[in-house]
Amino acid sequence: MSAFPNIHCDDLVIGSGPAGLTTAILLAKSRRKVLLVERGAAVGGGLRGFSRAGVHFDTGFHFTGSIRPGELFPFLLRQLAVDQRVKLIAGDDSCTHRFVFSSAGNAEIHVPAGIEATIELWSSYFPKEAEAIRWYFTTLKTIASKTMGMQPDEPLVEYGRLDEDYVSLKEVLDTKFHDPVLKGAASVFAMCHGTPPAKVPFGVHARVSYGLHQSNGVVEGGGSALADALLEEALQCGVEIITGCAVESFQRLEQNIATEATLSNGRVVTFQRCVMTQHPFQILQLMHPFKLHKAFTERVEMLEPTSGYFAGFGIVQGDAPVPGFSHSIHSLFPDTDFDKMMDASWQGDGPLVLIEVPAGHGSVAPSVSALELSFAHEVKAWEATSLWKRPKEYHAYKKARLTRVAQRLKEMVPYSDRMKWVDSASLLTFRDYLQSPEGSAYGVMQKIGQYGLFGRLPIRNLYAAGQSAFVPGVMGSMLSGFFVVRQMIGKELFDSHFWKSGKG
Amino acid sequence: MTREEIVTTINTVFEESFEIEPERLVPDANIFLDLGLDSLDTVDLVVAIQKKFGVQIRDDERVRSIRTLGDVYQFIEVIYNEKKA
Repeated sequence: MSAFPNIHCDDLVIGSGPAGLTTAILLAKSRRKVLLVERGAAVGGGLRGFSRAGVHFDTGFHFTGSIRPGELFPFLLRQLAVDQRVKLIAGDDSCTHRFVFSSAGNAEIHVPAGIEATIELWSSYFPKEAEAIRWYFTTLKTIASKTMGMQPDEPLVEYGRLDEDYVSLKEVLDTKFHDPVLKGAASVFAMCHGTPPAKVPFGVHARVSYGLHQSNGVVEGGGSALADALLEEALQCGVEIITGCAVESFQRLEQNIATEATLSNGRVVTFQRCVMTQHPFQILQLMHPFKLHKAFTERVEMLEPTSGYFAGFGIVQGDAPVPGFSHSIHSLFPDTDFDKMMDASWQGDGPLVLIEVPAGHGSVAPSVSALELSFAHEVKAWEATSLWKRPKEYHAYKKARLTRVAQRLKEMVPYSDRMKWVDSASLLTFRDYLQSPEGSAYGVMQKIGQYGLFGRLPIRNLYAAGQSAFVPGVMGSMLSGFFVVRQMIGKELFDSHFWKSGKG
Repeated sequence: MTREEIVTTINTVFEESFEIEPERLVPDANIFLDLGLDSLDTVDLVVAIQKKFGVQIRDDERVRSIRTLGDVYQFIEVIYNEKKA
Protein backbone atom coordinates (compact mmCIF):
# COMPACT_ATOMS: atom_id res chain seq x y z
CA MET A 1 0.00 0.00 0.00
CA SER A 2 1.19 3.48 -0.80
CA ALA A 3 1.93 5.84 2.08
CA PHE A 4 0.46 8.68 0.04
CA PRO A 5 -3.20 9.26 -0.68
CA ASN A 6 -4.57 8.44 -4.12
CA ILE A 7 -4.52 11.12 -6.77
CA HIS A 8 -7.92 11.78 -8.30
CA CYS A 9 -8.45 13.20 -11.75
CA ASP A 10 -11.12 13.17 -14.43
CA ASP A 11 -8.75 12.41 -17.27
CA LEU A 12 -5.33 10.81 -17.13
CA VAL A 13 -3.05 11.55 -20.07
CA ILE A 14 0.04 9.37 -20.54
CA GLY A 15 2.98 10.89 -22.41
CA SER A 16 3.80 14.57 -22.81
CA GLY A 17 4.90 14.74 -26.42
CA PRO A 18 2.92 16.89 -28.86
CA ALA A 19 -0.10 14.53 -28.76
CA GLY A 20 -0.20 14.31 -24.96
CA LEU A 21 0.23 18.04 -24.42
CA THR A 22 -2.42 18.87 -27.02
CA THR A 23 -4.83 16.39 -25.45
CA ALA A 24 -4.17 17.62 -21.91
CA ILE A 25 -4.62 21.28 -22.83
CA LEU A 26 -7.89 20.71 -24.71
CA LEU A 27 -9.35 18.51 -21.96
CA ALA A 28 -8.39 21.04 -19.30
CA LYS A 29 -9.99 23.79 -21.38
CA SER A 30 -13.13 21.60 -21.36
CA ARG A 31 -13.10 21.96 -17.56
CA ARG A 32 -11.84 18.46 -16.94
CA LYS A 33 -9.39 17.84 -14.13
CA VAL A 34 -6.36 16.51 -16.00
CA LEU A 35 -3.26 14.67 -14.83
CA LEU A 36 -0.41 14.39 -17.32
CA VAL A 37 2.19 11.71 -16.60
CA GLU A 38 5.56 11.76 -18.38
CA ARG A 39 8.12 9.01 -18.05
CA GLY A 40 11.03 11.22 -19.10
CA ALA A 41 12.67 13.84 -16.95
CA ALA A 42 11.10 16.81 -18.74
CA VAL A 43 7.77 17.59 -20.36
CA GLY A 44 7.90 17.48 -24.14
CA GLY A 45 8.82 13.92 -25.11
CA GLY A 46 10.42 13.94 -28.55
CA LEU A 47 10.19 17.72 -28.71
CA ARG A 48 13.04 18.09 -26.23
CA GLY A 49 16.60 18.26 -27.46
CA PHE A 50 19.83 18.83 -25.60
CA SER A 51 22.64 21.39 -25.40
CA ARG A 52 26.38 21.04 -25.96
CA ALA A 53 28.93 23.84 -25.84
CA GLY A 54 26.24 26.51 -25.70
CA VAL A 55 24.33 25.19 -28.68
CA HIS A 56 20.84 23.66 -28.66
CA PHE A 57 20.26 20.55 -30.73
CA ASP A 58 16.88 19.08 -31.55
CA THR A 59 16.47 15.32 -31.51
CA GLY A 60 12.89 14.71 -32.57
CA PHE A 61 11.52 17.91 -34.08
CA HIS A 62 13.81 19.27 -36.76
CA PHE A 63 11.41 21.06 -39.08
CA THR A 64 7.77 21.14 -40.02
CA GLY A 65 5.71 21.91 -43.08
CA SER A 66 2.63 24.16 -43.35
CA ILE A 67 4.32 26.86 -41.32
CA ARG A 68 3.30 30.07 -43.10
CA PRO A 69 0.39 32.26 -41.98
CA GLY A 70 -2.91 30.71 -43.04
CA GLU A 71 -1.43 27.21 -43.11
CA LEU A 72 -2.10 24.35 -40.71
CA PHE A 73 0.68 24.61 -38.11
CA PRO A 74 0.03 28.22 -37.00
CA PHE A 75 -3.70 27.42 -37.04
CA LEU A 76 -3.23 24.50 -34.62
CA LEU A 77 -1.05 26.63 -32.36
CA ARG A 78 -3.76 29.27 -32.28
CA GLN A 79 -6.41 26.71 -31.30
CA LEU A 80 -4.20 25.78 -28.36
CA ALA A 81 -3.64 29.47 -27.50
CA VAL A 82 0.14 29.11 -27.77
CA ASP A 83 0.55 31.07 -31.01
CA GLN A 84 1.69 34.17 -29.13
CA ARG A 85 4.28 32.19 -27.20
CA VAL A 86 6.27 30.86 -30.13
CA LYS A 87 7.81 32.42 -33.19
CA LEU A 88 7.74 30.48 -36.43
CA ILE A 89 10.64 30.89 -38.83
CA ALA A 90 10.12 29.89 -42.45
CA GLY A 91 13.11 28.44 -44.30
CA ASP A 92 14.47 29.68 -47.60
CA ASP A 93 11.34 29.68 -49.76
CA SER A 94 13.33 29.33 -52.97
CA CYS A 95 14.84 26.06 -51.71
CA THR A 96 13.44 24.49 -48.55
CA HIS A 97 15.00 21.13 -49.38
CA ARG A 98 17.85 20.19 -51.66
CA PHE A 99 18.04 16.55 -52.79
CA VAL A 100 21.19 15.09 -54.33
CA PHE A 101 21.01 11.63 -55.94
CA SER A 102 24.56 10.35 -56.15
CA SER A 103 23.63 7.24 -58.16
CA ALA A 104 22.23 9.51 -60.86
CA GLY A 105 25.38 11.55 -61.47
CA ASN A 106 24.62 13.74 -58.44
CA ALA A 107 21.35 14.91 -59.98
CA GLU A 108 20.15 17.79 -57.86
CA ILE A 109 16.49 18.54 -57.17
CA HIS A 110 15.33 21.58 -55.23
CA VAL A 111 12.05 21.92 -53.40
CA PRO A 112 10.78 25.49 -53.29
CA ALA A 113 7.97 26.46 -50.93
CA GLY A 114 4.54 26.22 -52.51
CA ILE A 115 2.79 23.67 -54.69
CA GLU A 116 2.69 25.89 -57.79
CA ALA A 117 6.36 26.87 -57.48
CA THR A 118 7.29 23.19 -57.17
CA ILE A 119 5.22 22.19 -60.20
CA GLU A 120 6.98 24.90 -62.18
CA LEU A 121 10.50 24.03 -61.06
CA TRP A 122 10.14 20.26 -61.32
CA SER A 123 8.54 20.63 -64.76
CA SER A 124 11.66 22.49 -65.84
CA TYR A 125 13.77 19.54 -64.61
CA PHE A 126 11.55 16.97 -66.33
CA PRO A 127 9.78 18.80 -69.19
CA LYS A 128 8.42 15.60 -70.72
CA GLU A 129 6.66 14.75 -67.48
CA ALA A 130 5.18 18.18 -66.80
CA GLU A 131 1.62 16.96 -67.06
CA ALA A 132 2.16 14.09 -64.63
CA ILE A 133 3.96 16.44 -62.22
CA ARG A 134 0.97 18.77 -62.21
CA TRP A 135 -1.35 15.81 -61.64
CA TYR A 136 0.81 14.57 -58.73
CA PHE A 137 0.93 17.83 -56.81
CA THR A 138 -2.70 18.68 -57.51
CA THR A 139 -3.63 15.26 -56.13
CA LEU A 140 -1.60 15.86 -52.96
CA LYS A 141 -3.64 18.99 -52.45
CA THR A 142 -6.93 17.20 -53.15
CA ILE A 143 -6.09 14.47 -50.65
CA ALA A 144 -5.23 17.04 -47.99
CA SER A 145 -8.51 18.84 -48.72
CA LYS A 146 -10.39 15.56 -48.12
CA THR A 147 -8.64 14.78 -44.84
CA MET A 148 -10.34 15.83 -41.64
CA GLY A 149 -8.51 18.64 -39.91
CA MET A 150 -6.14 19.50 -42.73
CA GLN A 151 -8.06 22.60 -43.82
CA PRO A 152 -7.24 25.43 -41.41
CA ASP A 153 -10.05 27.90 -40.85
CA GLU A 154 -12.65 25.51 -42.27
CA PRO A 155 -15.26 23.62 -40.25
CA LEU A 156 -14.31 19.99 -39.55
CA VAL A 157 -15.71 17.46 -41.98
CA GLU A 158 -15.32 13.74 -41.39
CA TYR A 159 -13.96 11.89 -44.37
CA GLY A 160 -13.36 8.15 -44.23
CA ARG A 161 -10.44 6.50 -45.91
CA LEU A 162 -10.01 7.68 -49.49
CA ASP A 163 -9.40 5.62 -52.63
CA GLU A 164 -5.80 6.83 -52.38
CA ASP A 165 -5.49 5.02 -49.04
CA TYR A 166 -5.82 1.67 -50.83
CA VAL A 167 -3.08 2.16 -53.42
CA SER A 168 0.64 2.34 -52.65
CA LEU A 169 2.83 5.32 -53.40
CA LYS A 170 4.98 3.05 -55.56
CA GLU A 171 2.02 2.01 -57.73
CA VAL A 172 1.14 5.66 -58.27
CA LEU A 173 4.71 6.74 -59.10
CA ASP A 174 5.29 3.76 -61.42
CA THR A 175 2.09 4.53 -63.29
CA LYS A 176 2.55 8.27 -63.59
CA PHE A 177 6.30 8.96 -63.75
CA HIS A 178 9.11 7.57 -65.89
CA ASP A 179 12.39 9.15 -64.79
CA PRO A 180 13.79 7.31 -61.75
CA VAL A 181 15.11 10.62 -60.34
CA LEU A 182 11.61 12.08 -60.46
CA LYS A 183 10.21 8.97 -58.76
CA GLY A 184 12.95 9.27 -56.16
CA ALA A 185 12.31 12.97 -55.57
CA ALA A 186 8.58 12.35 -55.08
CA SER A 187 9.45 9.56 -52.60
CA VAL A 188 11.91 11.52 -50.44
CA PHE A 189 9.37 12.61 -47.86
CA ALA A 190 8.80 8.93 -47.05
CA MET A 191 11.78 9.69 -44.81
CA CYS A 192 9.39 11.95 -42.90
CA HIS A 193 6.84 9.21 -42.19
CA GLY A 194 9.06 6.14 -42.20
CA THR A 195 7.10 3.77 -44.46
CA PRO A 196 8.68 2.76 -47.80
CA PRO A 197 6.86 3.60 -51.07
CA ALA A 198 5.69 0.05 -51.84
CA LYS A 199 4.06 -0.26 -48.41
CA VAL A 200 2.72 3.20 -47.69
CA PRO A 201 -0.73 4.19 -48.91
CA PHE A 202 -0.48 7.10 -51.33
CA GLY A 203 -2.95 8.93 -49.06
CA VAL A 204 -0.61 8.79 -46.05
CA HIS A 205 2.37 9.93 -48.11
CA ALA A 206 0.29 12.76 -49.55
CA ARG A 207 -0.83 14.02 -46.12
CA VAL A 208 2.78 14.25 -44.93
CA SER A 209 4.24 15.53 -48.20
CA TYR A 210 1.60 18.17 -48.86
CA GLY A 211 2.54 20.22 -45.81
CA LEU A 212 6.25 19.93 -46.57
CA HIS A 213 5.63 21.12 -50.12
CA GLN A 214 3.55 24.04 -48.90
CA SER A 215 6.36 25.51 -46.82
CA ASN A 216 9.03 24.50 -44.38
CA GLY A 217 10.41 25.98 -41.22
CA VAL A 218 11.11 25.72 -37.54
CA VAL A 219 10.00 27.08 -34.22
CA GLU A 220 12.49 29.66 -32.97
CA GLY A 221 14.47 27.93 -30.25
CA GLY A 222 13.58 24.49 -31.62
CA GLY A 223 11.34 21.77 -30.23
CA SER A 224 12.14 22.80 -26.67
CA ALA A 225 10.61 26.22 -27.27
CA LEU A 226 7.43 24.57 -28.55
CA ALA A 227 7.40 22.20 -25.57
CA ASP A 228 7.85 25.15 -23.19
CA ALA A 229 4.99 27.05 -24.79
CA LEU A 230 2.65 24.06 -24.60
CA LEU A 231 3.74 23.34 -21.03
CA GLU A 232 3.08 26.91 -19.98
CA GLU A 233 -0.40 26.79 -21.48
CA ALA A 234 -1.09 23.41 -19.88
CA LEU A 235 -0.13 24.72 -16.46
CA GLN A 236 -2.19 27.84 -16.99
CA CYS A 237 -5.22 25.67 -17.83
CA GLY A 238 -4.71 23.78 -14.57
CA VAL A 239 -3.20 20.55 -15.91
CA GLU A 240 -1.35 18.72 -13.14
CA ILE A 241 1.92 17.21 -14.31
CA ILE A 242 4.14 14.46 -12.97
CA THR A 243 7.47 13.84 -14.72
CA GLY A 244 10.07 11.12 -14.29
CA CYS A 245 7.28 8.68 -13.66
CA ALA A 246 5.55 6.03 -15.74
CA VAL A 247 2.14 4.42 -15.51
CA GLU A 248 3.05 0.86 -14.59
CA SER A 249 -0.31 -0.86 -14.58
CA PHE A 250 -4.07 -0.47 -14.50
CA GLN A 251 -6.22 -1.94 -11.78
CA ARG A 252 -9.82 -2.26 -10.66
CA LEU A 253 -11.23 -3.62 -13.81
CA GLU A 254 -14.96 -3.24 -13.56
CA GLN A 255 -16.82 -4.56 -16.57
CA ASN A 256 -13.82 -3.93 -18.75
CA ILE A 257 -13.35 -0.42 -17.50
CA ALA A 258 -10.10 0.78 -15.98
CA THR A 259 -10.46 3.19 -13.09
CA GLU A 260 -7.11 3.06 -11.33
CA ALA A 261 -3.51 3.24 -12.42
CA THR A 262 -0.36 2.64 -10.40
CA LEU A 263 2.59 4.89 -11.13
CA SER A 264 6.22 3.85 -10.96
CA ASN A 265 6.63 6.02 -7.85
CA GLY A 266 4.02 3.90 -6.08
CA ARG A 267 1.22 6.46 -6.18
CA VAL A 268 -2.22 5.37 -7.29
CA VAL A 269 -4.27 7.51 -9.67
CA THR A 270 -8.02 7.16 -10.00
CA PHE A 271 -9.55 8.43 -13.21
CA GLN A 272 -12.64 8.33 -15.38
CA ARG A 273 -10.89 8.23 -18.72
CA CYS A 274 -7.31 7.80 -19.87
CA VAL A 275 -5.58 8.84 -23.10
CA MET A 276 -2.41 6.95 -23.97
CA THR A 277 -0.03 8.61 -26.41
CA GLN A 278 2.87 6.18 -26.27
CA HIS A 279 4.00 3.71 -28.87
CA PRO A 280 1.21 1.19 -29.73
CA PHE A 281 3.29 -1.68 -28.33
CA GLN A 282 3.53 0.10 -24.96
CA ILE A 283 -0.22 0.72 -25.04
CA LEU A 284 -0.86 -2.97 -25.69
CA GLN A 285 1.45 -3.89 -22.83
CA LEU A 286 -0.49 -1.68 -20.41
CA MET A 287 -3.73 -3.30 -21.53
CA HIS A 288 -2.35 -6.71 -20.66
CA PRO A 289 -4.49 -7.26 -17.52
CA PHE A 290 -7.70 -6.92 -19.50
CA LYS A 291 -9.46 -9.61 -21.39
CA LEU A 292 -8.93 -8.57 -24.98
CA HIS A 293 -10.07 -10.22 -28.19
CA LYS A 294 -7.25 -12.04 -29.89
CA ALA A 295 -8.26 -10.09 -33.01
CA PHE A 296 -7.26 -6.87 -31.23
CA THR A 297 -3.92 -8.05 -29.89
CA GLU A 298 -3.06 -9.57 -33.26
CA ARG A 299 -3.92 -6.32 -34.99
CA VAL A 300 -1.45 -4.46 -32.78
CA GLU A 301 1.23 -7.15 -32.94
CA MET A 302 1.06 -6.96 -36.73
CA LEU A 303 2.30 -3.37 -36.61
CA GLU A 304 5.93 -2.90 -37.58
CA PRO A 305 8.25 -0.25 -36.13
CA THR A 306 9.68 2.25 -38.60
CA SER A 307 13.40 2.64 -39.08
CA GLY A 308 15.17 5.45 -37.26
CA TYR A 309 18.26 7.57 -37.59
CA PHE A 310 21.87 7.65 -36.62
CA ALA A 311 22.50 11.29 -35.74
CA GLY A 312 25.63 13.41 -35.67
CA PHE A 313 25.48 16.80 -33.99
CA GLY A 314 28.02 19.41 -35.04
CA ILE A 315 28.96 23.04 -34.58
CA VAL A 316 30.30 25.19 -37.41
CA GLN A 317 33.41 26.87 -36.05
CA GLY A 318 34.99 30.20 -36.91
CA ASP A 319 33.81 33.78 -37.05
CA ALA A 320 33.48 34.08 -40.79
CA PRO A 321 29.89 33.91 -42.03
CA VAL A 322 28.86 30.59 -43.55
CA PRO A 323 27.67 31.25 -47.11
CA GLY A 324 24.14 30.06 -47.85
CA PHE A 325 23.61 28.73 -44.35
CA SER A 326 20.03 29.34 -43.27
CA HIS A 327 17.63 26.68 -42.05
CA SER A 328 18.36 24.70 -45.19
CA ILE A 329 17.95 20.96 -45.43
CA HIS A 330 20.31 19.03 -47.70
CA SER A 331 19.80 15.36 -48.42
CA LEU A 332 22.15 12.91 -50.08
CA PHE A 333 20.68 9.74 -51.55
CA PRO A 334 22.89 6.91 -52.79
CA ASP A 335 20.01 5.55 -54.89
CA THR A 336 16.69 6.71 -56.30
CA ASP A 337 14.80 3.64 -55.06
CA PHE A 338 13.50 4.29 -51.54
CA ASP A 339 12.07 0.78 -51.22
CA LYS A 340 15.64 -0.47 -51.39
CA MET A 341 17.19 2.21 -49.19
CA MET A 342 14.46 2.03 -46.55
CA ASP A 343 14.76 -1.74 -46.25
CA ALA A 344 16.82 -3.25 -43.46
CA SER A 345 18.72 -5.35 -46.03
CA TRP A 346 20.20 -2.20 -47.66
CA GLN A 347 23.97 -2.56 -47.62
CA GLY A 348 25.40 0.77 -48.77
CA ASP A 349 25.51 4.16 -47.12
CA GLY A 350 22.04 5.21 -46.02
CA PRO A 351 20.09 8.28 -47.06
CA LEU A 352 21.65 11.22 -45.24
CA VAL A 353 19.86 14.41 -44.25
CA LEU A 354 21.69 17.51 -43.05
CA ILE A 355 19.73 20.15 -41.19
CA GLU A 356 21.27 23.58 -40.73
CA VAL A 357 20.39 25.74 -37.75
CA PRO A 358 21.83 29.28 -37.66
CA ALA A 359 23.21 30.76 -34.44
CA GLY A 360 20.95 32.77 -32.18
CA HIS A 361 17.89 31.96 -30.07
CA GLY A 362 20.09 30.74 -27.26
CA SER A 363 22.70 29.03 -29.44
CA VAL A 364 26.13 30.68 -29.67
CA ALA A 365 27.16 29.13 -33.01
CA PRO A 366 25.58 27.79 -36.18
CA SER A 367 25.03 24.05 -35.95
CA VAL A 368 23.99 21.05 -37.98
CA SER A 369 22.25 17.79 -37.29
CA ALA A 370 23.14 15.00 -39.69
CA LEU A 371 20.60 12.18 -39.77
CA GLU A 372 21.44 8.93 -41.52
CA LEU A 373 18.76 6.27 -41.89
CA SER A 374 19.44 3.39 -39.52
CA PHE A 375 17.90 0.01 -38.71
CA ALA A 376 17.47 -1.93 -35.50
CA HIS A 377 19.78 -4.78 -36.57
CA GLU A 378 22.73 -2.38 -36.75
CA VAL A 379 22.75 -1.97 -32.96
CA LYS A 380 21.21 -5.30 -32.06
CA ALA A 381 24.42 -6.51 -30.40
CA TRP A 382 24.00 -3.87 -27.69
CA GLU A 383 20.21 -3.72 -27.35
CA ALA A 384 20.32 -5.19 -23.85
CA THR A 385 22.70 -2.50 -22.62
CA SER A 386 21.55 0.74 -21.05
CA LEU A 387 22.68 4.36 -21.24
CA TRP A 388 26.16 5.04 -19.86
CA LYS A 389 26.85 1.31 -19.55
CA ARG A 390 27.60 0.36 -23.11
CA PRO A 391 30.77 -1.53 -24.09
CA LYS A 392 33.66 -0.03 -26.01
CA GLU A 393 32.64 -1.85 -29.20
CA TYR A 394 29.46 0.20 -29.21
CA HIS A 395 31.38 3.44 -28.85
CA ALA A 396 33.71 2.33 -31.62
CA TYR A 397 30.64 1.73 -33.84
CA LYS A 398 29.35 5.23 -33.12
CA LYS A 399 32.72 6.81 -33.74
CA ALA A 400 33.26 5.00 -37.03
CA ARG A 401 29.77 5.84 -38.22
CA LEU A 402 30.15 9.51 -37.34
CA THR A 403 33.48 9.62 -39.19
CA ARG A 404 31.79 8.19 -42.26
CA VAL A 405 28.90 10.66 -41.99
CA ALA A 406 31.39 13.55 -41.70
CA GLN A 407 33.21 12.27 -44.78
CA ARG A 408 29.99 12.06 -46.80
CA LEU A 409 29.10 15.62 -45.85
CA LYS A 410 32.17 16.85 -47.72
CA GLU A 411 30.27 16.02 -50.92
CA MET A 412 27.26 17.99 -49.77
CA VAL A 413 28.25 21.31 -48.22
CA PRO A 414 31.18 23.73 -48.58
CA TYR A 415 31.80 24.28 -44.86
CA SER A 416 32.53 20.68 -43.85
CA ASP A 417 36.13 21.53 -42.88
CA ARG A 418 34.79 23.94 -40.24
CA MET A 419 32.64 21.29 -38.56
CA LYS A 420 33.29 20.20 -35.02
CA TRP A 421 31.24 17.15 -34.10
CA VAL A 422 30.14 17.38 -30.48
CA ASP A 423 27.92 14.32 -30.10
CA SER A 424 26.20 11.48 -31.85
CA ALA A 425 23.18 9.30 -31.23
CA SER A 426 22.43 5.75 -32.30
CA LEU A 427 19.02 4.09 -32.45
CA LEU A 428 19.64 2.96 -28.89
CA THR A 429 20.23 6.55 -27.78
CA PHE A 430 16.90 7.52 -29.34
CA ARG A 431 15.25 4.49 -27.79
CA ASP A 432 16.46 5.36 -24.32
CA TYR A 433 15.98 9.13 -24.41
CA LEU A 434 12.78 9.32 -26.44
CA GLN A 435 11.12 6.17 -25.01
CA SER A 436 10.61 4.75 -28.48
CA PRO A 437 10.85 0.96 -28.85
CA GLU A 438 13.78 0.10 -31.16
CA GLY A 439 14.51 3.82 -31.54
CA SER A 440 12.02 4.00 -34.43
CA ALA A 441 11.59 7.58 -35.56
CA TYR A 442 7.88 7.48 -36.39
CA GLY A 443 6.43 4.80 -34.15
CA VAL A 444 4.96 2.18 -36.45
CA MET A 445 4.75 2.02 -40.20
CA GLN A 446 1.45 3.00 -41.74
CA LYS A 447 0.89 0.29 -44.29
CA ILE A 448 -1.93 -0.41 -46.70
CA GLY A 449 -4.76 -2.37 -45.07
CA GLN A 450 -3.46 -1.65 -41.60
CA TYR A 451 -5.30 0.04 -38.77
CA GLY A 452 -3.31 1.61 -35.94
CA LEU A 453 -4.60 2.53 -32.51
CA PHE A 454 -6.61 5.72 -32.65
CA GLY A 455 -9.36 6.93 -30.38
CA ARG A 456 -11.44 4.65 -28.20
CA LEU A 457 -9.93 1.27 -27.41
CA PRO A 458 -11.61 -2.05 -26.53
CA ILE A 459 -11.40 -1.00 -22.89
CA ARG A 460 -13.94 1.69 -23.41
CA ASN A 461 -12.61 4.41 -21.15
CA LEU A 462 -9.14 4.14 -22.64
CA TYR A 463 -8.15 6.08 -25.75
CA ALA A 464 -5.09 6.18 -27.99
CA ALA A 465 -3.47 9.14 -29.73
CA GLY A 466 0.01 9.95 -31.01
CA GLN A 467 1.92 9.87 -34.27
CA SER A 468 1.09 6.23 -34.96
CA ALA A 469 -2.62 7.04 -34.68
CA PHE A 470 -3.29 9.45 -37.53
CA VAL A 471 -0.43 11.04 -39.44
CA PRO A 472 3.25 10.74 -38.38
CA GLY A 473 5.17 13.78 -37.24
CA VAL A 474 4.52 16.66 -34.86
CA MET A 475 1.50 18.09 -36.65
CA GLY A 476 -0.09 14.69 -37.13
CA SER A 477 0.45 13.95 -33.42
CA MET A 478 -1.18 17.23 -32.47
CA LEU A 479 -4.11 16.54 -34.80
CA SER A 480 -4.59 13.10 -33.22
CA GLY A 481 -4.90 14.87 -29.87
CA PHE A 482 -7.57 17.21 -31.26
CA PHE A 483 -9.59 14.30 -32.65
CA VAL A 484 -9.39 12.15 -29.54
CA VAL A 485 -10.68 15.04 -27.45
CA ARG A 486 -13.45 15.54 -30.01
CA GLN A 487 -14.45 11.91 -29.53
CA MET A 488 -14.32 12.30 -25.76
CA ILE A 489 -16.26 15.53 -25.32
CA GLY A 490 -18.57 15.24 -28.31
CA LYS A 491 -18.47 16.82 -31.73
CA GLU A 492 -20.77 19.75 -31.08
CA LEU A 493 -19.01 20.97 -27.97
CA PHE A 494 -15.61 20.46 -29.58
CA ASP A 495 -16.43 22.20 -32.84
CA SER A 496 -17.91 25.21 -31.08
CA HIS A 497 -15.01 25.54 -28.61
CA PHE A 498 -11.84 24.39 -30.29
CA TRP A 499 -11.94 24.62 -34.02
CA LYS A 500 -12.34 28.30 -34.56
CA SER A 501 -11.88 30.01 -37.81
CA GLY A 502 -9.70 33.09 -37.75
CA LYS A 503 -11.89 34.49 -40.50
CA GLY A 504 -15.10 34.79 -38.50
CA MET B 1 -12.97 -20.88 -52.71
CA THR B 2 -16.47 -22.29 -52.39
CA ARG B 3 -19.20 -20.67 -50.34
CA GLU B 4 -18.81 -23.49 -47.82
CA GLU B 5 -15.08 -22.86 -47.44
CA ILE B 6 -15.73 -19.16 -46.98
CA VAL B 7 -18.29 -19.90 -44.26
CA THR B 8 -15.92 -22.26 -42.47
CA THR B 9 -13.02 -19.83 -42.66
CA ILE B 10 -15.06 -16.91 -41.37
CA ASN B 11 -16.44 -19.03 -38.55
CA THR B 12 -12.86 -19.89 -37.64
CA VAL B 13 -12.07 -16.16 -37.39
CA PHE B 14 -14.99 -15.65 -35.00
CA GLU B 15 -14.02 -18.70 -32.94
CA GLU B 16 -10.30 -18.01 -32.78
CA SER B 17 -10.11 -14.26 -32.73
CA PHE B 18 -13.30 -13.37 -30.83
CA GLU B 19 -13.67 -16.55 -28.78
CA ILE B 20 -17.25 -17.17 -29.78
CA GLU B 21 -18.63 -20.69 -29.34
CA PRO B 22 -19.18 -22.50 -32.67
CA GLU B 23 -22.85 -23.28 -31.91
CA ARG B 24 -23.63 -19.55 -31.84
CA LEU B 25 -22.24 -19.06 -35.32
CA VAL B 26 -25.41 -19.25 -37.39
CA PRO B 27 -26.08 -17.11 -40.45
CA ASP B 28 -28.92 -15.21 -38.77
CA ALA B 29 -26.82 -14.24 -35.76
CA ASN B 30 -26.51 -10.47 -35.47
CA ILE B 31 -22.81 -9.84 -34.94
CA PHE B 32 -23.52 -6.95 -32.57
CA LEU B 33 -26.63 -8.06 -30.66
CA ASP B 34 -26.07 -11.82 -30.64
CA LEU B 35 -22.29 -12.19 -30.90
CA GLY B 36 -21.43 -9.21 -28.71
CA LEU B 37 -19.16 -7.24 -31.04
CA ASP B 38 -19.47 -3.48 -31.04
CA SER B 39 -18.82 -0.99 -33.77
CA LEU B 40 -15.21 -0.51 -32.66
CA ASP B 41 -14.58 -4.27 -32.96
CA THR B 42 -15.36 -4.18 -36.67
CA VAL B 43 -11.87 -2.81 -37.35
CA ASP B 44 -10.39 -5.89 -35.66
CA LEU B 45 -12.77 -8.09 -37.65
CA VAL B 46 -11.75 -6.44 -40.92
CA VAL B 47 -8.03 -6.84 -40.16
CA ALA B 48 -8.47 -10.49 -39.10
CA ILE B 49 -10.47 -11.34 -42.23
CA GLN B 50 -8.00 -9.50 -44.49
CA LYS B 51 -5.22 -11.61 -43.06
CA LYS B 52 -7.11 -14.90 -43.27
CA PHE B 53 -8.26 -14.42 -46.87
CA GLY B 54 -5.35 -12.36 -48.20
CA VAL B 55 -7.76 -9.70 -49.45
CA GLN B 56 -7.98 -5.98 -48.94
CA ILE B 57 -11.22 -4.69 -47.51
CA ARG B 58 -12.23 -1.10 -47.96
CA ASP B 59 -13.88 0.70 -45.15
CA ASP B 60 -16.95 1.58 -47.20
CA GLU B 61 -20.74 1.40 -47.06
CA ARG B 62 -20.70 -2.34 -47.66
CA VAL B 63 -18.77 -2.92 -44.44
CA ARG B 64 -20.92 -0.50 -42.50
CA SER B 65 -24.15 -2.18 -43.61
CA ILE B 66 -23.09 -5.59 -42.24
CA ARG B 67 -25.37 -6.80 -39.45
CA THR B 68 -25.54 -10.59 -39.49
CA LEU B 69 -22.98 -13.32 -39.90
CA GLY B 70 -24.75 -14.14 -43.17
CA ASP B 71 -23.97 -10.58 -44.33
CA VAL B 72 -20.30 -11.24 -43.59
CA TYR B 73 -20.32 -14.47 -45.66
CA GLN B 74 -22.04 -12.68 -48.51
CA PHE B 75 -19.66 -9.71 -48.35
CA ILE B 76 -16.51 -11.82 -48.36
CA GLU B 77 -17.79 -13.95 -51.23
CA VAL B 78 -18.18 -10.78 -53.28
CA ILE B 79 -14.77 -9.40 -52.24
CA TYR B 80 -13.09 -12.70 -52.94
CA ASN B 81 -14.60 -12.96 -56.40
CA GLU B 82 -13.70 -9.33 -57.14
CA LYS B 83 -10.10 -10.15 -56.27
CA LYS B 84 -10.09 -13.15 -58.59
CA ALA B 85 -11.61 -11.18 -61.45
